[in-house]
Amino acid sequence: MNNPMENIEKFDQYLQELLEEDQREDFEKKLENDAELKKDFLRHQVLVDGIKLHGRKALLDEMKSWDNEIKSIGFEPTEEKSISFFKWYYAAAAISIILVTIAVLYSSLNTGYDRIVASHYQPYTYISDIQRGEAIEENPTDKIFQYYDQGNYQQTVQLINEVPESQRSELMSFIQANAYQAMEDYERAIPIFDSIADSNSVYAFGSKWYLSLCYLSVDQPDKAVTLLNELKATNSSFAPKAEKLLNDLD
Amino acid sequence: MDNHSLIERIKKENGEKELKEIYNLYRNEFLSWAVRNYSCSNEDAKEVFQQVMVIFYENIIVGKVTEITTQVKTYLFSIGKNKIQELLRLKTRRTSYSHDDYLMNTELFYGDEEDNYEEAVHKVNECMEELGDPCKSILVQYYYHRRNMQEIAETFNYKNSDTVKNLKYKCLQRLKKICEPELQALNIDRI
Repeated sequence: MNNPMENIEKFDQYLQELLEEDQREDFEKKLENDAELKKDFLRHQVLVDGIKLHGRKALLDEMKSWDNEIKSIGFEPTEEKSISFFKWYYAAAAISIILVTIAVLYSSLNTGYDRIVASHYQPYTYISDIQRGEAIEENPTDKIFQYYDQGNYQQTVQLINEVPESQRSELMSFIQANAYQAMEDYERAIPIFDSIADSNSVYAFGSKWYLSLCYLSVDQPDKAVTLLNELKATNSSFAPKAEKLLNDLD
Repeated sequence: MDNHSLIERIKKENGEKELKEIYNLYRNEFLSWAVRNYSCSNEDAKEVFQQVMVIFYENIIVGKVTEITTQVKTYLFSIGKNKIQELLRLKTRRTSYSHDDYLMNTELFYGDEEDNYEEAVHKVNECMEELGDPCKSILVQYYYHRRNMQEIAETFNYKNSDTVKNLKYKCLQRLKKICEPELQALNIDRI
């Protein structure tokens, strides 16, 4: 690899993971054995990262200009100074909202669940064996848990959906439901939690807990209370949490 | 908005128009949601939303996300939740927090998160201004926006992809020359 332009092409293919496995291994061996090549590669890597940083900053600056456009047509929410132009509009809207809220308070028990859920909900924590910041493992199962651990819920469910249902472990299904819940996709989270909660799985109690929070999020408090009372009667670590949440709901 | 075709439009053409539509569609709602649920300031919420949009865009262009099974809004808000919590944690730990903390706190870069490497990357970023156009645009289109040579040739009206390939190489050499004194001073050549 003595042609500088060819070297750059190879560096780019390697960094963008476009090489086949044998080509990648071959390239890595060359880097180990050729100090000049390795120096050139490291320099190239810094340049590329600097170019990417520049691109990202430019995109962020572009978004700030979009913000200014939004401000200039008076659509800025919650900033006291900038709503003066539409003061009358916001005043009328505020009065309407107050009236509607009073009506809702009298007719339903739905207010306040979001705050209660927010104060009790913590996404299930699964600490993968792989350290944060390390490259994502190639093994699909490890990848799933590593993505979940890093809070990449979209990638988590994407990967789990690629695994045939019959091959999914209980933990995988539990993680899948938790990922959906973290993304507030309760429609998908609820049936998965429900099926685990009804089983003899080690995740049954955990599923009941998270399922109860899902039901509160979709304004089905009766179902949530039933589950919480069941949990309260157990010796599990979720019993005191269930009791506290029941007290808050009261 | 069909999610699959949205992803393809963001990847294949210059996705700025699509991104701007999504930005305008969800920005105010996100700000109100963030301020209401996390008691963060409007300014912090704006900063987080911009980070969320950047993450959304970068996940698509590098192929990390090939489909979105939920609504785009759900996807954005779930990233936003993590980012707000991260920001609030950072702010309680440090007396000052800067936008640069996010810019370098990232999965975008190939190198290790060591101090002199980060500084070197910042230096290259500064040198890009000195490089100027068309080199700056060609390099950003290729390395950040992940456009291929043919797409760049069409966008910038070059003869063909080989022309762009040669230009890209020359632009990299120019950038290297501009940055070399700074990079040598930082001694980032680890052998």
